[in-house]
Amino acid sequence: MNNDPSPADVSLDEQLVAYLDGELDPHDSRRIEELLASDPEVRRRLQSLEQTWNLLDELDTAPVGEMFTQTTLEMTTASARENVERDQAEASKRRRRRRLTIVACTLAAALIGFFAVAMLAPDPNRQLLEDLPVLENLDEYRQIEGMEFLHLLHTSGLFSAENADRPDGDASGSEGSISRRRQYVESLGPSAKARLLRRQERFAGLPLDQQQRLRQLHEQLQRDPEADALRTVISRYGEWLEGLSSSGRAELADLQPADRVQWVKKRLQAERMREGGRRPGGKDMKAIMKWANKYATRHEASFLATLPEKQRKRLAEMSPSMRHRMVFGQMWQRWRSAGFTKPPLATDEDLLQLRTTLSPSLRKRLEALPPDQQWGLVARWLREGMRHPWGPRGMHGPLPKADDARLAEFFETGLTGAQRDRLLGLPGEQMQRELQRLFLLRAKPFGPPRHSSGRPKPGTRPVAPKNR
Amino acid sequence: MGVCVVIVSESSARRYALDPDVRLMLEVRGDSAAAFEELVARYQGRLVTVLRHLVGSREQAEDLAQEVFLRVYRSRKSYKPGSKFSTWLFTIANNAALNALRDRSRRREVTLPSRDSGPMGARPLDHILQASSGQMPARRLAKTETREIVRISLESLNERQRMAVLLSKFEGMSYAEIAETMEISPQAVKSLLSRARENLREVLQPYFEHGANPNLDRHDDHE
Repeated sequence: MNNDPSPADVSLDEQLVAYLDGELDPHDSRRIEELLASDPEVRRRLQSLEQTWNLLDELDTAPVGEMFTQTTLEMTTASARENVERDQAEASKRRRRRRLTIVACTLAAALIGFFAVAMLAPDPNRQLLEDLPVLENLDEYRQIEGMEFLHLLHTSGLFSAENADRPDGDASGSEGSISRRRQYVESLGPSAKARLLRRQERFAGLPLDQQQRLRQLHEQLQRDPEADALRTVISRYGEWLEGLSSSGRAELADLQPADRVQWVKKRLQAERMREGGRRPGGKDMKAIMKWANKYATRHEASFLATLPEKQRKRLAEMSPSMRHRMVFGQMWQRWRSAGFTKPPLATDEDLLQLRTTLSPSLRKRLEALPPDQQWGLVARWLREGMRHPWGPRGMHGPLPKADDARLAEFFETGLTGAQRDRLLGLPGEQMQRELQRLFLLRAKPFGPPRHSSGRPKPGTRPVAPKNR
Repeated sequence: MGVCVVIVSESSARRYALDPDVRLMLEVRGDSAAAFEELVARYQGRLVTVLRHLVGSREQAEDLAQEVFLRVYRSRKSYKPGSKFSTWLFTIANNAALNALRDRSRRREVTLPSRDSGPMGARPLDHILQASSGQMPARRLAKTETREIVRISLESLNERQRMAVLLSKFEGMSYAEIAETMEISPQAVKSLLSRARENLREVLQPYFEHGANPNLDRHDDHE
């Protein structure tokens, strides 16, 4: 480089450059122009600066390709997504903190309230103990409008003790003196205590006249000479109601006691005709579905090992609950293909376990058949169970989303074996989409509402099931 | 390094709201992905060009340009139309580039080692001036040689001078806009550009004193 220019040169250069850049005000511009006109050296300097500047036009520009645009936008999108996730995580933390604060405040308030009530109010546990027999039978009592209806039911013989599988009388310690009841409650396990508390909450949530009615019903029942038989009727009637569709229950609730008994009678006759009188009751049906779930869980790994590698991989990509449903569906199909003789991988131990969970009468019915026919009967019960409100959903436990539950049911019961195999051969997401598509195409509802024939009424168009 | 957020009066906000790019940026502020894509498409070439001549490497320039767009997007919610959009964008670019250059010098990398190797490679200016052009067709050599010499002369400037020159030459910014972009006074821009142009003149003087193609002329004479 040259020697440092003098301050005067620097100042002149600044003015010349600013002149070239059009950054001088009119006065300074005129001054530079006069200087240029009078001094050839300044002219040469200006020319030299301008030439140099113009040479910069040779510098190349840098056009960018589509790939650059695309990656820039993708980066931005990813960053935006990260931000949203971070915000959500922070919001979730804030909510958790707020919830903890609320819980802490609530606990503090509850403690204060507890001590205040303990000092000022009567023992709330005493109320629980007094209502204990009602709470223990809350669901059953709520189905009984009054003693008149109960006696009519008893007289009809529909749910009488002769037909009972086991004595349903109240054998718990919920009766007797308050101190005996207290001992009984204290002897309960944590889950039983929690259940009792929930019932108490539900009871407390009823209108006062309803609460009073239930207490009165219990007292009348206690005094009734046929108390034990009536309790059995209540219990069996409650079980039967559990299996009734909600529309059926609504219909029943609108009737007078005598008409209601007639309605129940007709309904039972129809059911017995349809099922050959062999349909298991609510408790049995629940036990059967629970057993099926256990059976599927127990043999899931072995069953998966029998599937082709591709299917296994697809199933491995699913959530455990979805995979469980899919596996059960496959097992069920294989069982059906084998004419419902013996379920895949089932052992005598499986059948034994089922028998021990059944009521004595149902067990007798099952054991009366030759072994190969026993499995056929179990399959019939299961098919019935899957149509019920407590069907596959009750069997597999709650699902995170209702849509998944419906799709899983559809996969299990609404597809042919070939369709199912084809779906299992697809990648996870594609399989879900295809399953959804078939579901919407078929629009076959599960569970209630059902027609007595089990088929849609002629002329009616199937409607896509709504969220339950 | 944060993004400069300018507090502006209503009148200047109205004035700059007439800038179509400012309007686009306001749409980006309202989470319009299409507007952001449009801004990227409009500015990516200009931004990469300036950054490439500033940092000397095409690859690093593209990385920096993406970082700049990312910063624009992240700071969209705090954007206020206080100046031309390009001024705001190149302020972010200037900060990002200076940071990158500082990091590079901290890692003791050679000042401008990684510029793209054109047909001339990364040779110093005097070497180019002395190089024989006998192995290449005359016209092509003249063009590439000129470009290489100009590029090397630009690289001989310090970072701030280089940025001021690039904003003035490629973006056609006024002194006031360069001052805002580089966060210095207009007077500082004036002396920065003056020194830069004087330095360029000194480096390039021997080149254009021999006419348009000094080496070529010399080479032809030898032949």
